[in-house]
Amino acid sequence: MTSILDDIPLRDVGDLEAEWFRAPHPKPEDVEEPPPAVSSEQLAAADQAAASRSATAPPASPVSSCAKKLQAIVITIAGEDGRPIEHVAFELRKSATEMSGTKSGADGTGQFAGIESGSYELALPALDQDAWEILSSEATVPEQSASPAAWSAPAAAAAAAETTHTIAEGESIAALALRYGFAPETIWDDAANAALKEKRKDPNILAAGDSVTIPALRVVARPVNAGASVRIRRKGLPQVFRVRFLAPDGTPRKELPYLIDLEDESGKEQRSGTTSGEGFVIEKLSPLVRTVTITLGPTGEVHRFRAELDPLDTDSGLQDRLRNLGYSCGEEDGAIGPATAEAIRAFQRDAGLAGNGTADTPTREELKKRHLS
Amino acid sequence: MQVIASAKEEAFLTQLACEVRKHFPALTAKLDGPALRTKITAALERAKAAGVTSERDCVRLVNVAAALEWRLEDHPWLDAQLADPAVDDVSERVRLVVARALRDKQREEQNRAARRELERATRR
Repeated sequence: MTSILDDIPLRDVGDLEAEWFRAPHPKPEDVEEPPPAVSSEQLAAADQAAASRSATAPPASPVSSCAKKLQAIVITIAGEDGRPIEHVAFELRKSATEMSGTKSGADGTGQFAGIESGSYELALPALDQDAWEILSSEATVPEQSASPAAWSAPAAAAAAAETTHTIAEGESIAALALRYGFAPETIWDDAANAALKEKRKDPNILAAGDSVTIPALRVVARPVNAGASVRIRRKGLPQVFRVRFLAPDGTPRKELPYLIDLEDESGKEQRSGTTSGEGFVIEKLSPLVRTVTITLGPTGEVHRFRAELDPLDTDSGLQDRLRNLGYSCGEEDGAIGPATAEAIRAFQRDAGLAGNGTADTPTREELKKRHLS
Repeated sequence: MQVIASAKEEAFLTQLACEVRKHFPALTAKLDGPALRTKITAALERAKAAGVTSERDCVRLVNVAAALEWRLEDHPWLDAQLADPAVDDVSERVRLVVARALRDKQREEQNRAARRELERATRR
């Protein structure tokens, strides 16, 4: 399927197609929320005002400080969509025996202040060499008063070694790439994973228990200059989530307002939008997002999707797709029981297939076609 | 020397209280002078315990404490960030705390705007 995001090299988490959700859903409560006591604008203004204070002297110091002007390097890391990425470790190396460390913050930025003019080396110790690239490095950071940077001896690096990861339910190559610091294709295309690649075909649809070889991390240091603002791209992030809403007669539910809830370790993010002319909701998200909830405006109906699917040849993968298409499998998960058999029968009936509640090859093929994955 | 230091400290607290009132009027409206000073002093003590020494970093942390409505115990990430051994420079730890507080505030506002947008679009 063609995506409107095809110009961005992103991976799909799987194309999901949902029919009208049969069960009634409550509308979101119409409650007027009280405004927060402090806005982000107020905090930003207060922080800007604080910048004029001494960066070296203690508060209420009876002695004024004569701080030296020093340089800084500002590093910003973002995904392929330009969104900042948090918690990426940066190491600035002055020499073989002197380094300083920081991490990217919520704004994707890490800063090394209090450094002398000159050239340094920047390493991202938790990222493979093919998982990041420097997009630009511009001499735009002014000198500033700061205490001289503290340099320490680098910790003895443990020898990088290949490991094996056993897939847990809902995990994908993209999630492993994020966790272990690789570009997804570095893991997927590794020769040691050739058999898995042949078996599963899609890196985003793996089964619990699949074994994935994680290659040895190749850490690289790249040159940077004092005073530079360096922009880095983290490859392989984010992913694209696509879901299509159809009416019972198969026509797209187009131009409907929606609210999408994405929750990962950094908290809950909500976005609003309108379904496309073909009934699609298309959103970029982190591989760490496991569950996506979409509330459709006019009816208040709520749809929950797992961002990662099991393969279609597994019972749980079959149930994932049936549920996403609106066929309830009850509480059954990973084993076919009477509820799943009834869901299969209903699907076969709606699809015009001859069937008896057994997921035979034509049924799975039709399910794949309608689910788009 | 001690007398001068105390007077400077007093002046610093007074000035900081004025600035906090200026930047966060809705939050501080119901706090009288001593109550606000108590909250600022508690935030400064926390900064000191985390090894924060410069005036600028102390003020930045007081601002964050105000933005979190003084309920720092509800935000365990803050102490974890201030003690993060992977970040060598204390000022950088403070900068990361500010970035996180700002992002959380912006996300809160974005989420709120998204919910209102859905509500508005639904009514149309």
